[in-house]
Amino acid sequence: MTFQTLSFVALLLAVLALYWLLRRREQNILLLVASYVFYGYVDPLLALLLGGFTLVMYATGLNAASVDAGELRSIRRRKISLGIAIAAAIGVIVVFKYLGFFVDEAGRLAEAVGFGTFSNHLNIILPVGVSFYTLQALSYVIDVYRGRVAPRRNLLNFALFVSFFPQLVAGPIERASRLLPQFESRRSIDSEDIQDAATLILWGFFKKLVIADNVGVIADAVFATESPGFSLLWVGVLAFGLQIFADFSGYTDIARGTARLFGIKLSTNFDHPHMARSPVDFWRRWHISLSTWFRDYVYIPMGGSRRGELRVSWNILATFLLSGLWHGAAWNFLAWGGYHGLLVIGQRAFSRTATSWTLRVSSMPMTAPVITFVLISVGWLFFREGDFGHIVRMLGSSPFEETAARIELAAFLLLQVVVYSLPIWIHTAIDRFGITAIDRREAARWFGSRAVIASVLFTSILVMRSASGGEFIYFRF
Amino acid sequence: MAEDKDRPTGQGGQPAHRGYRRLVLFLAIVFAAPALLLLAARTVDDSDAGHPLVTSDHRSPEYVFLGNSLLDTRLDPAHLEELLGGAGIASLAIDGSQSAVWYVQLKRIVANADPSPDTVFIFFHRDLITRPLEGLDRPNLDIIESLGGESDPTLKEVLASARSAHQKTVHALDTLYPGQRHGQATRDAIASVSALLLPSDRNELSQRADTAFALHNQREVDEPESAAELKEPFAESVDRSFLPAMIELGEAHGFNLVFVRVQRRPAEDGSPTESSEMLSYSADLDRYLADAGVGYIDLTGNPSIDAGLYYDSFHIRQRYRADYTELFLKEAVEYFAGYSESGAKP
Repeated sequence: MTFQTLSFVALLLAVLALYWLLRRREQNILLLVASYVFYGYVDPLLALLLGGFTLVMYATGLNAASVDAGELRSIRRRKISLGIAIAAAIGVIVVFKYLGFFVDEAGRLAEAVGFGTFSNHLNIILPVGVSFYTLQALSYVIDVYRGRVAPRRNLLNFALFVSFFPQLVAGPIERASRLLPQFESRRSIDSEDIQDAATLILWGFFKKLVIADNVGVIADAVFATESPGFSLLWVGVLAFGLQIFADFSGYTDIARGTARLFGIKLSTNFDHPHMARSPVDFWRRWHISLSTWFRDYVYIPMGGSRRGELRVSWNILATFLLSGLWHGAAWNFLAWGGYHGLLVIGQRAFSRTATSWTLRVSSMPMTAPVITFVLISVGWLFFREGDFGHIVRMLGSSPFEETAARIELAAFLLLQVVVYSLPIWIHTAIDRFGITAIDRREAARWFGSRAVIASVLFTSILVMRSASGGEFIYFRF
Repeated sequence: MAEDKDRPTGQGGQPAHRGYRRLVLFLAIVFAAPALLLLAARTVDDSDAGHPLVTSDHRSPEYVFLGNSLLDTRLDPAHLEELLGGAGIASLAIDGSQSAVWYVQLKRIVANADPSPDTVFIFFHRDLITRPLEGLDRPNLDIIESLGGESDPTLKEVLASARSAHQKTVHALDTLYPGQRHGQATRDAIASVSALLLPSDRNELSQRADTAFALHNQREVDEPESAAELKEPFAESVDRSFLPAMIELGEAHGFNLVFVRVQRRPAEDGSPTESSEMLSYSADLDRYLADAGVGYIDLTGNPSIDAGLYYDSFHIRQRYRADYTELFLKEAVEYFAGYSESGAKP
């Protein structure tokens, strides 16, 4: 079940109608049932996988806790539990996400060295959301092992933590310390919360259905073309960068707004990433819940920023390669991760060696955001294009072979991309000019502007939504 | 009952009635106002002043072709005209169109033509000729409206009988919020605004975009081959489709109908691309059309059509369009009465 379907709206309204009439424990039961209906709607086996995985993480979480510190048996038991949790999480991801890729690549390699022809493909279907809920549950067990989170005996609350439907299939990847206490305490809602939530949901749908899907038409057309040429290619790449931001942040807004209707606050996942001043800053603003997950559970355990520059560079590169691989079993995702790793390493080297002149230039208003925007956009080429040979061919296209007519066509498409994405830039400008959330709320009370904004968003969705809109991009991961 | 401290609170500090009033007002502004606005702005296109059915050189056609891009990439009307020694051919192919659009084209354009064409060929694939809801979204709905087919009682009846409860709800919402009617106009406006800053005019730029992204400029798609699945057996779907109405139109207006079922790309290893259910569907369709005196050509499994002709699962490469036209003529020669296979009219 996905957010853009009537089935989801019906489920949401039905659950909401009951939810606020119930006590806390009954509310959690209702949310858990709704989450499993949501997840198993297309294929009940998915719900079975989710349930089985939840039980494994629940049991390992209990055993990973430090009960009697110092006792040898206890330490061993905890380590084994942690190992099982890690193996289970990685195992699920490897089987469903990477096994087919590894088998195909091994077959190709065998063919290349003359071991005959391999035409057997595993065709394993990736269960939607598996990459997200495995990381979320795994972070709980690791935090329990580290003593940062108390193990939970209440299976109902824990199962809800793993499966809470607004964020189940594409995040944000929540931490137990933030989400579990919300399921364990009373929740409240008032008229203002409902209006805020509805506006956030409509803003999310607007970003997905109006911006992402319309800009995506241009990106899809460019990437479907055999030889787009230099100018069309980079307009397509730019269009895709805006498409994926509007698509994914739109999903997150819908998830956060939906959760808020149940009195649950989910993490912010995006903070105007297109205004990032450096690659490091970009990763503080883009898919924040994933980048902090990799920082806390991969980069820091590898040694983080300690042990010398060479080792730090390796830690950065390895973390980004893994992050790229997390997106999918394909060489282009690995290249995308590697590219970002190199950008961050390059930024560190730049800040060490830059002269006062280059530092002055890079600190000029908009210089750093524009350079960063261009560098990040180049990375989207690797992310979007799965055929490595085609990437190389496209990168080989020269600006000097372009005709005036072709450049004008690229400008025509670029201007359309700019017009469609204008609301994103306006939203960023509003935040940049320092109007705080509280001020906006006050303004809304005085002028009814929130209702008008929400109404305009809803009308725009009805009028401008793309006829060829598809699934959320991050559902593939 | 004693107060339950676990029970959630409904209000967050302000008097409940004030909060509820605001919420109701908010919901009215957000969800009711757009419906009123869009319904008021709704315009009915009654510009059915006539859609002339002519060939490229403005003659009345003897042979008319209906279909979507599967037809467009397969048939070269000018080449067919040449092959038939000057017979009038008109192709009304519309990308993405399906049976609802073809029915409306048949009723509003072909049936109104004077003189009537001799034969109408309708190209489709799989079982889509008996799936009336297939492709029934924008821009196909816009095409139906622009042809004045929206109020056609047969169209309404067929669609109503084919829609599930879920689809009826979607349709009701679409009627309540007729926003997508303005979608193309909005997209056109954005394109026009974008073109204002450039030397060339918007139509020229759009034409350039159409050329740059035309099918023949696209990459070949390596899609996995799989046997297409049948949605519903023929006997269960035929009476809820446009097929009977199309046949009636042919009888009433004196033109012959021929349905042409085209093949998706055959598998490289020779494995069938049609399931046994789909083969049985085709046999049932053949019998039904034969009983009604209507022509049927099933090109699936035709050994002359090999995978090399295709650039994706369904479309034929531009350079093989003429070859495919010749192949089609060979298969369909009996329907071109008065024209010899070799060309000139005897």
